[in-house]
Amino acid sequence: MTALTQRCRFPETRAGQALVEATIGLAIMALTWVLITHVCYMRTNHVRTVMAARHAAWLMGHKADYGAATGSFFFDNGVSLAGISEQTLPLSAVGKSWGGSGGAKLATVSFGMSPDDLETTDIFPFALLRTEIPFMPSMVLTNYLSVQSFSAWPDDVDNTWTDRGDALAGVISEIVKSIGGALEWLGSLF
Amino acid sequence: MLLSGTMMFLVVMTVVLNGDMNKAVYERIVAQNAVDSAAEAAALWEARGCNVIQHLNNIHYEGNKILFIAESASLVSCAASVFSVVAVNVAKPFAWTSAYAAAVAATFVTCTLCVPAPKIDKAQENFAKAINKFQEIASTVFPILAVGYANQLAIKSGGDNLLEVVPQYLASVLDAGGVSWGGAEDVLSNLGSLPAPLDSITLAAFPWTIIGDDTFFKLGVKPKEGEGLPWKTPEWWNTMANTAYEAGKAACSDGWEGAGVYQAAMGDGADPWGWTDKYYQGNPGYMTWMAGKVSQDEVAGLGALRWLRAKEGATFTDTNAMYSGEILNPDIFKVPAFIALASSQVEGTPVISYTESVDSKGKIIPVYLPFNYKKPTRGDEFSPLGIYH
Repeated sequence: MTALTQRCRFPETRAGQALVEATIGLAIMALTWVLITHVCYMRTNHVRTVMAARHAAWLMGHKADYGAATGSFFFDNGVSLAGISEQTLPLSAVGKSWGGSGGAKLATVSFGMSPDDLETTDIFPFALLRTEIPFMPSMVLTNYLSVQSFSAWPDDVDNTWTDRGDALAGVISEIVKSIGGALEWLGSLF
Repeated sequence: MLLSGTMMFLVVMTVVLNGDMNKAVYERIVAQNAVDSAAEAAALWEARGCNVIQHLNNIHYEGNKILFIAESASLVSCAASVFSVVAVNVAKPFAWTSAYAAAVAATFVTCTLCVPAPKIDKAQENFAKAINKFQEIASTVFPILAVGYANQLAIKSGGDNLLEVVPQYLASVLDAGGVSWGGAEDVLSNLGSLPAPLDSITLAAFPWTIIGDDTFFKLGVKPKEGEGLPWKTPEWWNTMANTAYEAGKAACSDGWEGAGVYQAAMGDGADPWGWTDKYYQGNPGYMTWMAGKVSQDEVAGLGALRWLRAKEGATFTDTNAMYSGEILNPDIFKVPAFIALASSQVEGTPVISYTESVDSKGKIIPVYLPFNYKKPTRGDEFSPLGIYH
């Protein structure tokens, strides 16, 4: 009788086990979903950065305004996560340049947040990545917060020395750069 | 739990494959960026070479014009000196008159102006030689610069060494076609670097155009004999120049009181008088460039999946691959090597004898291959093969 009463009060079901498994499973699925979404998002944007870098480098080579070069490549969510940096590479036909004048423009386009962005609320009101979950070690995917790509384009590509003065200056500069670069390269062989 | 685990596994695998596809697209874009920047750099330097040669043509033309006028004036003075010497001799009995003084002054002026005629002719010859030499050097050096800069730009844009890319690419193409590549890939892989001391050079861009287009390394310009002034002095002018100078020399150095001054100054005449100069003419052909990216490991290392602790005491580095049958080819589980092509050419006024519009510009054009049935001409917008990038 006692045993029967106990069975009625606490029926032998697996609801508790299901609840525990569901809690663990759904949490893992949610985490996986978040990670997958983030990875897919960043990978898509990685491809966009290389396209944007090509466009920006092309604009830099033509001495055009490249400030809006990323505008056509990334979704605009009201916060611009894309950044462009310009670098002039001293380059000669033999690689190294002696004399310092530019030979190529290097555009680097990055998308995402830098670790520094997490230290301020200027960009985002709060950073979810700084949330610390109980019993979980501090975990910030600092190496996947942003993606970047680069592309180069000939510097001053519109200047084909149509002016006689430009041609003379260009030839002299090229002679200095190439001879210097070649000597430097030869020196590095020994 | 089992169901959710299975679903998660499938989702993760789908994402991994998506990542691989993403990586492949990325590598393909980088390869195209590399070859496009290489083609643009090559066209830029060929255009600059054309403009330098055109500037030299123009300088040659303008220099010849100035020297022709100067030499003609000098020779006219030679002819005039004959008359002024006659006038001096006629007026000699009236040496106290101003007419005699004027004749003597005129003779001094004309004889002095006559002296440099052969020197001007010689200077013109040296001037033309120097200009032509510079043009010859430019027509050789600028294509080399084009190749050098194209290679550098391809490297800076992320292009890989083609000596590694091409064997990998051929291997993947042959694999896709069911042809066993076997040891041939290893042989070609050994070609992955140039012999020392050139092994520090990375060949990231290769000009296809050198195959089947012998004008590529000559910039497409050739010396051409000029016609008409100021490139070529007329035959009658050459004869008149000789006659005028010899007559002037005879008159100035032997026919009057001041002749002694000119006996040493007036040397032999030019041999021959006048000139027939060459200028450079032509335009570069199109260039087709190749750059690429080497194959990459795929995102999750699917080609090297291993059992974790498949047997007692095994470590991760033990040989416990999930599958080791004959079908397994690790190369299949890789993001393949990519090759990209781009063509460029120089547009604007071709290099001609003389023009005020020195306007050569480089331009990327639809891809042309050396074995196309029709070479592109100026103004062509579409490739015969319809390849775009």
